[in-house]
Formats: sequence, structure tokens, C-alpha cells
Amino acid sequence: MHDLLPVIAAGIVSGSAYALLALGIVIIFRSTDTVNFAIGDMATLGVYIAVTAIGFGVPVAGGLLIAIVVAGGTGVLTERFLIRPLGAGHKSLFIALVVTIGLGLVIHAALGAIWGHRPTTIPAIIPGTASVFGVALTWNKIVATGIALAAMALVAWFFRFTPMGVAMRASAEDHFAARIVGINPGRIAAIAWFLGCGLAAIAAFFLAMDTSVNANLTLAALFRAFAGVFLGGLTSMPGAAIGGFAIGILDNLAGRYLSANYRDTIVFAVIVAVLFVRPSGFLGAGRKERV
Amino acid sequence: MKHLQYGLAALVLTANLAMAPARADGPGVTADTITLGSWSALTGPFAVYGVPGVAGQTAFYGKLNAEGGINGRKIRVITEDHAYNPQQAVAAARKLVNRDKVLAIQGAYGTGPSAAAFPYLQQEGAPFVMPYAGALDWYEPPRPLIVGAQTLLDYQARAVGRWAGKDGHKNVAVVHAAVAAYEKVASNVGPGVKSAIPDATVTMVPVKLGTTDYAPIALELAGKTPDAVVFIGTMQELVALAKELKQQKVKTSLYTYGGNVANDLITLGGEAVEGLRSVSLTLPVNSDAPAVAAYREALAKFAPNEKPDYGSLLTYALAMVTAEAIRNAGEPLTRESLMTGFNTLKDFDTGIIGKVTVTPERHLGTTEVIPVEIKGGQWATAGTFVDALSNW
Repeated sequence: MHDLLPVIAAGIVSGSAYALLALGIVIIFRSTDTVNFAIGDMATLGVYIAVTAIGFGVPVAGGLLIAIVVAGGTGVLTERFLIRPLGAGHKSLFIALVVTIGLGLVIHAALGAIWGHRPTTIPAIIPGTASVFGVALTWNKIVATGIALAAMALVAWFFRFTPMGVAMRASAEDHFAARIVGINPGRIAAIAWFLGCGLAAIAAFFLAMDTSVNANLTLAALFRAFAGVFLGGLTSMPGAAIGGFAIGILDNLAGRYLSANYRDTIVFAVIVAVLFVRPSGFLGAGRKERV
Repeated sequence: MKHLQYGLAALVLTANLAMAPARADGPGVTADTITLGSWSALTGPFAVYGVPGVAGQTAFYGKLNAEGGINGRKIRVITEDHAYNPQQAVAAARKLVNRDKVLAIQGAYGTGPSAAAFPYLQQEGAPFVMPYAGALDWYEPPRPLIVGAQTLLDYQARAVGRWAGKDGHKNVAVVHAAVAAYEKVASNVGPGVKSAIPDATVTMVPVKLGTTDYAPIALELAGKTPDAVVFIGTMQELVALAKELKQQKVKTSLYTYGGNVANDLITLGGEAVEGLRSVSLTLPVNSDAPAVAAYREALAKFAPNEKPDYGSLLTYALAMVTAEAIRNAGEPLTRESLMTGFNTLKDFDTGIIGKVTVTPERHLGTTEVIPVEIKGGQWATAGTFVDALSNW
């Protein structure tokens, strides 16, 4: 256990991507009651378009902005034309879930058809490494973690202190009451989808910098992000972010000290145990319905 | 009157003989065309291997047809997409054999999906030749309708293990994807190392297939301080491991096997994979060898969307072996004569892969590999073709 701190540090930087994706999932879920399974593919689409732009001479930081705008814009269009027409109610929630799964498959296939199946790379924003608690981390990962933390702080501030954020929280609590007091739910939903998919694009962009740009870029990360969401609570934004980081740390601890082969199994066993004790996650609100 | 009857009968018989076909060619063979079938992963995550594989054979047959084909016949290849799904491979086999009436399945990609189609192919008597895939049980014992020339991954793993041993590495870690197929391949590394250094220590490090975060594995290896790390898994994971090892300043020599020999490895891995050693099935794509130069030219002309790389170079060479077997088969060209054509290949030199010899008792045409390493951001040979099963 002499390298415990380095392993935790490595886990935190890995967890930043999961936390961003998890936060994106929860923002969308809280505003529109839709679990967006296509969020990873929308983010990957944004990264592909950013890479194309970088190929035409756009700076890498500009590419990041493009990825956010494209993924966010795709999210807005999806909400407007695929999700909103489904209406409200339990039945439409299930249909919306299937719609996002289908949309993800379509985007995934389109990425291969348009850009091919060979992986490519994005140059690092800051090349090189730095030692953190004895573990060498790329500046790329450190910057990604910083941006992830900053984005989370910004989202927290937005929801707590801005009129729009407060309106979004109100709408999440009770759509009907929010509409009565003059909050436009369509506008709220559009902003939520833009924010959620944009955050996912940040995660995808930095994942691509560390690995490669490929159609399966967010597959493994999204799997862990969902674990983070359920660990932290599907209804809690801070919970999702903390859950994402917790998954990163747990994953690294399991991989280093228990088994590199069974790390997923171990992580999910821990999650099952937590959910057994707290079914709504660490910070999620238990749902009570009058019968 | 009787003479007239005999005369008429003789005339009819002569006319019939004259009108009868001079030969009885097999399915997919006409006076001017030989139709072959193939399948590959043209969509999905495995398309990264499947698409270049198809491009290689497209380039070879395009060039061959432009030069007049074989005995005046052009080669036509119908390729189906199985997306690496065994069920789709079976459907592709049914379509190709039953509807398209192909002579044989050639250059098919994907070990698992292809194996799923074997019962149907066997039932129909359709040969399965020169696949861009392979497994030990395809060739041992030899099956009458299956013939290939891709040195098996098991043999490659043994060869790379031996290379690590020959380089003097006594403490070797084998990092491998923890699924049965990879585990089986990885189990051959140890015997390879020990064939060079009998008292060497070989540690197996299983890793979940699809791992993207190699930080904990690199930290574990940093603790074990192996002289060499042999990686048996996918290219993207090799890149992730190489980057983490470099980042954590783990001083070790990195080895892998033919499946990861690709230009993409250098593109993605950059400096982290510099010095990496591997066994390869083919000469490097930038080789000056005439056959490799002809491949680059044919690829540019007939599959211009693909850049030269190892997958397409290998399938180009495998298609070359098939063409030679068709020539050997002579006339009439049937499924039986095609297999005879393969079974008489002796030391056939494509100029790209190891020499191919097929006999009725040996249906894997080569077990040769060539040592290569990444030098100055390029693959370079580090020796000549060697038999992976020998103590080279």
C-alpha cells in the first residue's frame, strides 16, 4: 500500500471524466425526466467535428469550444424534435429512453460511415507530465480535472444563484407549478440538454486527447459514469459528480490492489452494497408517492 | 436401311459430343469469370481491421484483373458485412454459397464469426481458404476444406516470448486481456521465453478486456520491475499501457505480437511505443521489396481510400496465394481441383509473408514470422523470416 496516494490521485483524474458525464446525465434527467443514453455519442460527434476543424487550422482550445457547441446543439435539437413531442407521463419516459438508445446507435454508425473506423489523435493542450503524490500525470489529465472541477463549480453557481438556474430547479421539482408561475419549460429543457451534452463533450474531448478519437470513445467512461450517477443519486447533481470521482478512485484501487481483471466487478459490487443500504444513492432524494 | 440408321445414330452422337461442354467447371466459374465470396467487419468496432483487410484483396484482384486475370478469367469477389457477429457470418455464408454460387470463401475476416459458418460450409462442400483469421483447431487436425497462411497467434506469442528470452530478459511480465482467446494465446509466451532462458520468471498479468485506464497496471508493473513486458491484447490498450509505462518511468522493454503491428500504433502511441518489438506476419509496408512496392501501387489504384498498412498488406499476400492455387488447379476449375491446387503449393513465395507450403497433412501454409521494431517512428525489420515454432 506504499503507493496508495498515487493510486488515489490517478483515480481522481480518471474520475473527472466520469463525473462530468454523470453530471450531464443528471442535469438532463432532472429537467426532462429523460435518461439520455445517447449523451456519449453526441459528445463523440462533437469531438469528431472539432477534430475536423482542428485539421483546418483551428487551435485545440477552439476545438474544445466547437465540441461543446456541437454536442450541446445536438442535445437541444434532440430534445426539441425527438423528446418533447413524446409528451409527459410514465409511458413517454420509457419511449424517450428507447429513442435515446436508438439515436446513439444512429450517431455511432454515422461516425464510422463519415469519418471511417481508424482512430486518430488530438494534440495535447499542454504536453508533458507532472508528479502528483508520486504519480506522474499528464498535464492533459490535470487540466481536464481542473476544467471538470471548474465546470462543476460553475454549474453549481448557475443553479443556485442565477434566476435561470433557480427556474430550472423549480421546473425539476414540479413542471406544472413552474408553468403556473411563468417559467417556460421548453426553454428550461433546451438549456438543460445543452448544458448536459456540453459537459459530456468536455469529458469526451479530454478522453480523446489521452487515448484516441474513435467511435467508441465514451463507451467505457459512460458505463462508469452511470455507475457514478446511481452511486451519488440520480436526482442529485453534487451526488453525481462525487459519484463519478468515487468510481474513478474505486476503480483504480481495485485495479491496483485487488485485480486488474475484476476491477469492474469489484466496483459494481461496492455500488450494489451501497444501493442496498441507500437505494437512492448517497445524496439522491428518496421518491415518495401518495397512493 | 440399317446402315442409314447406324449412320444417323453416329451423327447424333458426334453432334452431342461436339455440343457438350468441354469441361465441367465448379460453382462460380464461367468462361470469363471466377466468383469468390468473402466476409468481413465493414461496420462496428472491428471495422478498423475489416475494412483494410477487404482493401488488400481488392487491390490484389484489381491488379490481377488488369493484367488479364487467370487463364483469361477475371476474378470477382463478393464481400458481405458481418459486423463481427457470428450469426451475420452464417447468413453471409448462406447467401454467398446458396444464392451467389461462389467457388470458395476467400480472405474472410474474423475468427469467431468465421468458425460459426463452418458447419454450413462443410455441409455444402464450400472451401474456406486463406482467411484473415485463424485458430489452432482449424488446422490441427487438418480439415479438408480449410486452408490458410496466417501464422497463428499462439505461434506468434511463442516467437515473441523467445525473442524476449534471447534478448536476455529473465523476468518477464505478460500483460494480457483476460478473456479465453487472449489467455490461450498469452500462455504461449512463457514457453517461448523459457526456450531461450529455462530459469526465467514469467508472470501473467490479466487485465480486463477494454481497459482504458492503465495507471494502476503501470503502477503494479513499476513494483514488479520486470525486464520485459509482453502485451497480448488490442492495439488501443497497448497504446494506453505504453503511455502509462513511459509516464510512470518504468524502465522495461515492451514486446507484442502481429495483431498490433500497424501504423496506427505509431500514430497513437508516438514516443511511448518507440523501441517496441514485435513479430510480424509481413514485411514492413514501407519495404523496398518489389512485391511490397507493387502492393502500394495497386492499393493506390484500386483501393485509394486506404493508406498502406499491415492488414491490407497481409490480405493482399493471402489473395496472391489463392490466385496461385487457382493457377495450380488447372482445368476444369472445381472446388475439388481448387483444393488440389492449394495442396500442391510448395515454398510459394509472395515476397511479403513467409513461404507457403501446403500438403494434405498440413493446411496451415506457413508458421513463419519476421521480427520488427519501431525505430525513428517507423516499423523496421530486425531480422529475416523465422519459423515461429523453431528455436530460431
